[in-house]
Amino acid sequence: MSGRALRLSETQYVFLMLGVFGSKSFFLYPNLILHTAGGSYWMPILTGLALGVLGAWSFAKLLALHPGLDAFAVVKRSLGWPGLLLFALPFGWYLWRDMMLIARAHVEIISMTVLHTTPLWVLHCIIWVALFLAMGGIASITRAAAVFVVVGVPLIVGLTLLGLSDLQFTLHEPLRSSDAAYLGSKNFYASSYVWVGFLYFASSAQHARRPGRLWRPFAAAALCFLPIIAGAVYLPVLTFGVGFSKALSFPFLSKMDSISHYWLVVENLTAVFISAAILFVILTIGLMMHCFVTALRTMLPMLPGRYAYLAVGAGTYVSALLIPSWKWIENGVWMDTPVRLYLVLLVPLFLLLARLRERRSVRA
Amino acid sequence: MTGHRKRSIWQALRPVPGSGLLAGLRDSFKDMADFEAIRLGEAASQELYSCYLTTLVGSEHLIFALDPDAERMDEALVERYVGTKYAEGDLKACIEALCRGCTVLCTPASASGIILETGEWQQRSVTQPQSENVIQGPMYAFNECYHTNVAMMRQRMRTPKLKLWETTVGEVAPVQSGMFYMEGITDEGLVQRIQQQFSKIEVDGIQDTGELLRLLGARSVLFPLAITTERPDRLASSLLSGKVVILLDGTPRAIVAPGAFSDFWEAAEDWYLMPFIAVFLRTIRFMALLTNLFLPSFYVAVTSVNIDVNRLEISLAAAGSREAVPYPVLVETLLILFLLDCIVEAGVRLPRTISATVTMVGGVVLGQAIIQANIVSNLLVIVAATTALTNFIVVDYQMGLVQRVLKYFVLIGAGVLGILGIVLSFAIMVVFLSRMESFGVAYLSPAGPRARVYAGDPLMRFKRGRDRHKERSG
Amino acid sequence: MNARKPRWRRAAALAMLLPMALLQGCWDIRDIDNRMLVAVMGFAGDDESGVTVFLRFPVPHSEQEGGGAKDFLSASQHGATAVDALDQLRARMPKFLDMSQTRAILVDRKLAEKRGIYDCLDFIVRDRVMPINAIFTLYDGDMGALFERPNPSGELSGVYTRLYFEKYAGGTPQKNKVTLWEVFSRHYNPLQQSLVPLLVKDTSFRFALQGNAYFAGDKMAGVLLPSETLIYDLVTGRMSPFEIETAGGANVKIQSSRARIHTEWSAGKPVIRINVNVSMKLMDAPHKAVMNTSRMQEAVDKLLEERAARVFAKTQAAGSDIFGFGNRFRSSMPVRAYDKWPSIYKRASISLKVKSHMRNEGLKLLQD
Repeated sequence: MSGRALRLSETQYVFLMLGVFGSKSFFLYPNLILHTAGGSYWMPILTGLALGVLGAWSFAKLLALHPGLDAFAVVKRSLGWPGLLLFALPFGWYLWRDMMLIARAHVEIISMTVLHTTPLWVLHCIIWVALFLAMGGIASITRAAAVFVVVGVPLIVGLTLLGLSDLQFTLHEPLRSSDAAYLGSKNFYASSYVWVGFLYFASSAQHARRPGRLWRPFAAAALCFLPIIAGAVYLPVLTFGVGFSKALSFPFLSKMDSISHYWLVVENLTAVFISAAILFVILTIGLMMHCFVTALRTMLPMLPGRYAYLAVGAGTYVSALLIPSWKWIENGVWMDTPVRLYLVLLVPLFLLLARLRERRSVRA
Repeated sequence: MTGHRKRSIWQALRPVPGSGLLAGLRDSFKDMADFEAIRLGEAASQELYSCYLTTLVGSEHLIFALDPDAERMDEALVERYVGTKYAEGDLKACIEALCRGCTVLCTPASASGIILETGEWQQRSVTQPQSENVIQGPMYAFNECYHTNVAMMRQRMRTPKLKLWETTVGEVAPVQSGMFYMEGITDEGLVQRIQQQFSKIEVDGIQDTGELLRLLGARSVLFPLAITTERPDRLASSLLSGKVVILLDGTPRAIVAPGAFSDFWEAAEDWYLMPFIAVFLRTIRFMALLTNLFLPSFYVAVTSVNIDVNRLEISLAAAGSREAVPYPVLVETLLILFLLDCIVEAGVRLPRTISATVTMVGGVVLGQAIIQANIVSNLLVIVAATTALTNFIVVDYQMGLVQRVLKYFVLIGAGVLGILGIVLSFAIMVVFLSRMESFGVAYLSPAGPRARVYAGDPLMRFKRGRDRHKERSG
Repeated sequence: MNARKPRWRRAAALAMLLPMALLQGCWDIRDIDNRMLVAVMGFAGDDESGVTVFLRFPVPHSEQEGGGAKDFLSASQHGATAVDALDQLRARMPKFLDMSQTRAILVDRKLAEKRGIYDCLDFIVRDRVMPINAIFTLYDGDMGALFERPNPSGELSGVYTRLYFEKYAGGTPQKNKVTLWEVFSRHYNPLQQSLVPLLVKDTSFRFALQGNAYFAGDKMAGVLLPSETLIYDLVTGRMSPFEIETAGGANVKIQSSRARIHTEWSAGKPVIRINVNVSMKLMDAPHKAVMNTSRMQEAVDKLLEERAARVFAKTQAAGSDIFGFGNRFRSSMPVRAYDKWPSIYKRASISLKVKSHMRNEGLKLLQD
């Protein structure tokens, strides 16, 4: 199948995004949201969602400048080399950091919950699986995404529904005047990492029929996932109360542990949850690797694809192994926030520049 | 043979200086005991010979008349030819035709001969399908004869839109092969692609469509890339949904290309049953697939790594039954699965009367003894039996074999990382499948891009019908 | 490209064989017969220092051996902390100590009264060695004897504790099943305190219910009698059908109940008004007493209201808000005042009104 003929429907983009949300919304997000200032957790969640859709919209507009090209090629054509460097270098950096953080975070979760003594270098083999996926190209990633999402999302939805047991609604935090304080909270900005999944469309946008409308799959996936994300934050709060939820590293995992029904065949729901999450993680890292290599090859066109992939895979594997602690991951997500915001805010700026340039060239 | 035709066909036998078809044939077929070249008499002032392989030709095709005018009574001439076609051919064509069972009429000095279709094909009669039995639906299947098979397809689909493209495969021992497609439904690109792939085949000879499938450029080490079937009805329905059917002489199984993973879970019968029942049956098959692949590994995971996934009662029962077993769970499981595969394999190869004994000895006697000897646990025997049972639910034989292999792969995943290992091996399998293509169509169709192009989609068939209806009415 | 293909394929085949190499490092692999699964765990600590951990392992039986042998094993170990005791125990054990399927945790009453319970439980949340949905109860008596004593009903001893608290085991309103995570969440929530069942030794069965212990902070503050627990169930909406005897000697079965709780502040103290609607069914009426439905309803109302007043008085005296009324004051209290809730609760005025309603009188009419 040639790349030229490849067309991805919006549903397939939604599937990709669902996978990205699945891999990002559980490991740190509930904790970050619970530790933002103010007690109305729906406010930072919804604000994040709205900003995410806005960012996706402006990113889609950038992609629509030259339909049929990926984001890096679009930037290169609109703004030339300096623009490309300003876009692709931070993007690559961010991708690399994101890959290793997601991989390591999930490996830590596995290590803390299911496999206590298995060494990390074995668990990090998920990176190699993702690499194998990425090397198949975007068509292969999309196909795998369909299967992973069809398997994983029902599991996650089922777990969320099971999580509705033992709820006590008097435990929810009331609305207070100080609730807008989350805007000044560091954790709120760090939690934005969940909502920037649209950036990973960068390497696959050329396959869309109308790249300018790529924000819609993002918005659709975000809205589909919103109940699950809200569940990840609210279910522990409504079961355990805020105090205990805040004291837990993975409130949602503990919530899974607390569920017990006589008719439930599987006793350890955490294992089910991790199974679903790992599928999403493999998918997301595969997609990110594809983005990364696309960025690399836009800058260095003579780079042979296979070796680029192998290098990226090895780099991610080693750097994920080198992360020393969970604290480091928490810090890492926070440290990446400026780069993330730069990427999301820079896009409209690019757009403006490109528009101006076009107008000038039309006049001349 | 009418007058005009007669004159023109006999012209083939006019003498050409320097050429000797008969000598050439005799040379090619020397040391072949069943080759015969019989002098029939004189025609057009030449000696007329009839050459054929006695083992291949039927006796009813040519009727001779002893020449009433001749003085020597051994002279005879063809009085009547009963056959489907005749042609004229040079030495190479004549050799090839003789091998097919034709009779060649020639004279010693002619450059070309007259080829008469006198072959009598040795074939099984058309019987019930051997491997794809149904309760409801057509009850006949292909046999090994190419012509019979093509005829069956033609009988089933009486339309000039059913096109047949023929070629031969093999350098040393050529075998006839044909490709059916529907004009206007099948994608032209797909047809051309397969024709190109046929032209690239370099092989001495070929025996089965399974071999052909690999030669057609379907590079796969494990998964079969297209369905092979012996049921004409299944082929007809595939053709109508835009696929291509490849037949090969000498084998009852035809290739349906392209194939996708989901196709292997469709039985021929599915189309003839009520939709809900078909969905139910397919769900059962799919569950059986999952059970077969994951149950032994799940047992390993649950009894050696993720103990807390199941109930305490089950854990204790497992611990109790494993108490005296000296080996690790993984080794124990590998052992019994190996044994099971041996029993299955023994049953497949043996004649039916003996295979029952083998199953008896293997299954019952060995199973009981192995538990009593504390080599494997009770629970595992249940697991192994279920695994074996679910393996036979698979519709497609090739896919069943793949499952038997993959089971071990998942098992090792579970042996290392427990439940997570199962999930990882599942992910690896999906990734592996997602990278595969069958004749230009994604193997994981209808998942992912180009799902709509994949015409085997039942939804699409329905849609096309609806569109046609719309066209007619609007 | 084509020449490189076979090499590539060979590499892929090698990569597939790689998991084989991993087999030699069996990190988390411990076969089930090499583990000893803990079914019940107990904590006791009479003296000021250290904790004694009691464990009970069900012993699996293979079929050939048949029954007859002892079907459990119990062990105990004293240590400075729970983790320390478990570590010492591990050193003594022939197999791997697996607590991942622990069904119930029993804590000695004296430990709960004197030193609080959370210290010996903290490791459970942190390490996830034990399911946090295990049953949590207090036990009054000799813990060692309890763990040594065979289970009279004979089945798997660990499961017993759990089944004892399941709904279908009967007597649920008094039993009040509490899981470990509930204890933890109350520990972190100053607005609600735990109410934990308190068990004692029983002559014919494994244990009997003495009452339910209410906590003030980390420590046990007092005991509600089983009959008083009914009020807790009525207020928190955990009601399951159960029988009570009215003043007139008639027995009614409470089928369902619904509580409406109204909260407000008045003159700096919380006011809590509870209206409970109870729907019931007549089970048994004495012949002598002349009863009618409305009188019976009144009797039930009065009975429950009086009982409620007793319960509220008890818990308020200890500052133990087991009902979680505090949660309802969340929005009207500043966050920093949450910690003061136990003392505020002591001043709260609580009233409970019961309105019962006889749904039916069984198959036989009341007046025949």
